[in-house]
Amino acid sequence: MIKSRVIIPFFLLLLIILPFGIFDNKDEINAVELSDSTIGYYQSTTCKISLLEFYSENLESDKNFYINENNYADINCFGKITGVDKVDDSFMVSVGTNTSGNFIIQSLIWLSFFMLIPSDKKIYKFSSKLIIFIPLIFIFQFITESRFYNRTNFIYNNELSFTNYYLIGNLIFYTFIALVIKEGVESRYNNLINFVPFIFLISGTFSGMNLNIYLIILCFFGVLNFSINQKIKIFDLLYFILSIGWILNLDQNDFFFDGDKLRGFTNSELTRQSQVFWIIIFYLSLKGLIFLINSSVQYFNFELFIRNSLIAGSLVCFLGIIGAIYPLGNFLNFYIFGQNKRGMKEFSSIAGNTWRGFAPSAESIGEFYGFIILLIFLYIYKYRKIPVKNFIFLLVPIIYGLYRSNNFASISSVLLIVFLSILVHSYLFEKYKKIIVIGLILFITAGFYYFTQIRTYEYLSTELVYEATLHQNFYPRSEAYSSYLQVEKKMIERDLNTLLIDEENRENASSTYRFLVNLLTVNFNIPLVPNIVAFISMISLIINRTEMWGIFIAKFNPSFVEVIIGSGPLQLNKYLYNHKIRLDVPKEKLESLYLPHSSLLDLYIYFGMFTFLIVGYGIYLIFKNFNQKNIFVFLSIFLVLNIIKSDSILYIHSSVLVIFTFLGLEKIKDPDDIE
Amino acid sequence: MENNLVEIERVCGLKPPDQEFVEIASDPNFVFVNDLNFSTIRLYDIDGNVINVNSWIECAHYVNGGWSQNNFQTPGDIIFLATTIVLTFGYFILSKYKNRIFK
Repeated sequence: MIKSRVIIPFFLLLLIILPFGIFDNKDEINAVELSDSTIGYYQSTTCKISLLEFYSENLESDKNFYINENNYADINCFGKITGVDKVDDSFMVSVGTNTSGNFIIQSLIWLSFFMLIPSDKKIYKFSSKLIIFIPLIFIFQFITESRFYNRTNFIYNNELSFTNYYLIGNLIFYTFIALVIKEGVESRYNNLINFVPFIFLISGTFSGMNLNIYLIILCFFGVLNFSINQKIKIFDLLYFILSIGWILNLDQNDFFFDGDKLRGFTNSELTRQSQVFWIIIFYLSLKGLIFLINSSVQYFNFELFIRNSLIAGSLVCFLGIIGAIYPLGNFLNFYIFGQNKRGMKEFSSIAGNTWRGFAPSAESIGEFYGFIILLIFLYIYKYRKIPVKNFIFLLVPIIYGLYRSNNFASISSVLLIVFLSILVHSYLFEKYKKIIVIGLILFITAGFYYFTQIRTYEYLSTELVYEATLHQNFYPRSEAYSSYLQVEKKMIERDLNTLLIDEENRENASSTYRFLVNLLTVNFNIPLVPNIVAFISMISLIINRTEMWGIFIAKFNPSFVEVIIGSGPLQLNKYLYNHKIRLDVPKEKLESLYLPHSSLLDLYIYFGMFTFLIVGYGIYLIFKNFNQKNIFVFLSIFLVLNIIKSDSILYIHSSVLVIFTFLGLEKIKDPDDIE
Repeated sequence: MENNLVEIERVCGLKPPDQEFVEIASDPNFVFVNDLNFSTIRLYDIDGNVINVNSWIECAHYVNGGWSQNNFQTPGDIIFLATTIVLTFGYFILSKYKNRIFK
C-alpha cells in the first residue's frame, strides 16, 4: 500500500512531464521568448520545441498567452509547439496533443488515480471472459461516429482491414484498459462507492474523443452484472422494446453535434449505427452503476464519503483558481482531469462560469457544492458530532465555491432544506404535524397568490408561450423587427390561433408550440383548476426559466412516436438542429448550445412519455422512504429542486450523483448501523 | 532553385527543356498547373506532412523547400499500435512478476 502510494504519484509525474517535456537537444532549435517578432520562428519550427521547454523560456514573460490543445496534430508532434498565432493582444500557443496519444496518456493517468483508491481486505475474482466485451463494444464507436473522429484525429481510419493499425491499436488498448479495470476493481470493489465525489474533480473526458472513462468502467460493471445476475427484469425488457422503437423511428440525417460541454456523454450523429452504439453504452453504464451501488452499499462509510467530498470539492476550487491565473495550469487542468471544455481564463464570474472546466455548467458545480454543505449539516444535525474533524476546514473553499458559482437556486434550496430538516425534527412538528403541514400549504398558496397580484393573470399565464412565439420563425419573409412587431401585436390581442392560421407560420411552428397553444386556448375550463400551460408559465416566471423554456418550446418539434418514446438516450441532434427558430442574440451567439434548462425536459427529449415513469418512480422512492432520520431523503429533495431548472442530468457526474442519492435513499436507510 | 538542381532532378526527374524557373514563394496566388505527362510524386516534409505533386515545377518548388521522397518519421498509427502492444505486454509481465518485483 505504502509502495503504491509512492510509485503511483511518481508514475503520474512521469506521465505528465515526459510527453510534454521531451525534445531533441541535437537539433539546435531552442525555445525563444515569445514576442511579435518570434511568432514566425515558432511557425517555422513546428514540432521541434516541447511545451515545457517553451514554458520555462517564457516563465517570466509579461506576454499574455494561452495554451491551446491541437488534437489533430500527428503523434510525432505530441507535446511540441505546433504553431503560435496572435489574436488581439494574446498569443495562442498550440501544442500537439494527438487524440490517440491522449487516449493512451489520459487513460494511464486516470487508471493510476483509480489505483490510489485503497484496496479492500476482501478480494474478488471476476471471470477473464468479461474483458473481451469492452474492446468489442467500444471499438464500434470509431466506425459509427466517423464524422467526429475524422476531424479530431490525424491518424483516424475506420476501414475494416488487417492493415488498419489504428483500429487494431485501439482494440488492443481497450483490452489493456479492461484488464487494468478488472484487476483494480477486484481489490477495490467495495470501496468505490465512498470515492464517488471524485468524479467531480476528475471529469474523465478524453481530449479529442467523444468518450468518458467512467463509461468504460461502468460498462465493465454492466457486463459483470450480467455475468452474476442473469435474470431479465421488466426494465430490461422495456428498454429492449424502446430500443427497437428508437432505432426504427430514427430519421437519419446529416446533423452533427460536436458534443460541446456534453462531449463524452452524448451522441454526435443521427445515424442508426451511432444510435445502436449509444443505446448499448447507456444501458450497460446504467446497469453497471446500479449494480455497483446496490452491491457495495453495505460498505458505505459516511465519514469517508464526506472526507472525499471535501477534498474533491476544495480541489476543484483551488485548482480552478490556479488554472485562471497560470496558462500552464489551465492547460494541465484540462488535460489531467479530462475536462469537457477549457477552464476559466480569468478569475471573474463574468468571464464565464467560475468553475467552468471542472464543471460543464455553474448549475452542476453549484449543486455539488450545495450537496456537500447539506450533507455535512444533516450529518452534524443527526449525529450531533462534527465529521472528519481534520478535514472540516475544507468547508471554507466549498462555501466559497458555492458563492462563486452564482447558483442562486442551489444556495436558496440548501437554506430551504436546512429549514425543513430542522422543522421536521422539532418537537413542535411532532406535536402539531397537521397544523404545520396545512400552514405550509397555505403559506405557499398565499405566496402564489401574492405573485399573481404583482402582475396580471393574463401576463403570468401567457408569458411562456409569448417567449416561445418570439423565438418561433414566424413571418420569416419580414425583417426581424417587423416580424417581432407582428408577433407582439397578436400577443397583445391574445390571438395565438390567428398566428397559426397563416400557412407558413403553421409550418414553421414546432409541434410542441402548436400543442401548447391548443391547450392554452381550449374553450372548456374546469373551475378553480388552473390551465396547465398557464401554471407552467407561472412556475417558469418564478424560477426565471421563461426565456429558456420558451426557446425549448420553439425548438422541440417531435413526431408523434417521439412524443411517446423520445429520441433515445443521449440523442440530442434532432432537437438541436432540426427545427429552425429565431434567436434575438448577438451573431456570435447564434451557434451556441441552447439546451432546455430543465432535466425533466432533457429526459423528455430522450425518453418521451416514459419520463413520467422515471419521475414518478423517483417521487415514489422519496415518499416510500420518507423518514426524517434518513439523510438521503433531504438530499434527494435538494437535487430534485435543482435539476428541475438545470440540465445537470445531461452531464455524467451529475447523473451519477442523482442516481447514487436515489439509490442511497432506498438502501442507506439507517446509517447508524454502518461502521 | 537553380543552385539545387541536382537534388531537384534526383527527386523530380530531368528538367523539361522548355521549363523556366519561376519565383513562386513571392506570389501567394500562384496556382500550379497539372502536367498530364508528369507522373504524380508523393513528397514528405520533416514533420511527416504529405503532398502529391503533379508537375515538374511544383515538385521542384517543394524539393527546394526541403521536402523529399523519404518519410523521415514513423507513421502515427504504427507508433500507436506499437505503444499499445508494449503496454499490454508490459502489463502481463508486471502481473506475472508483480509479487517478485514488489517483494
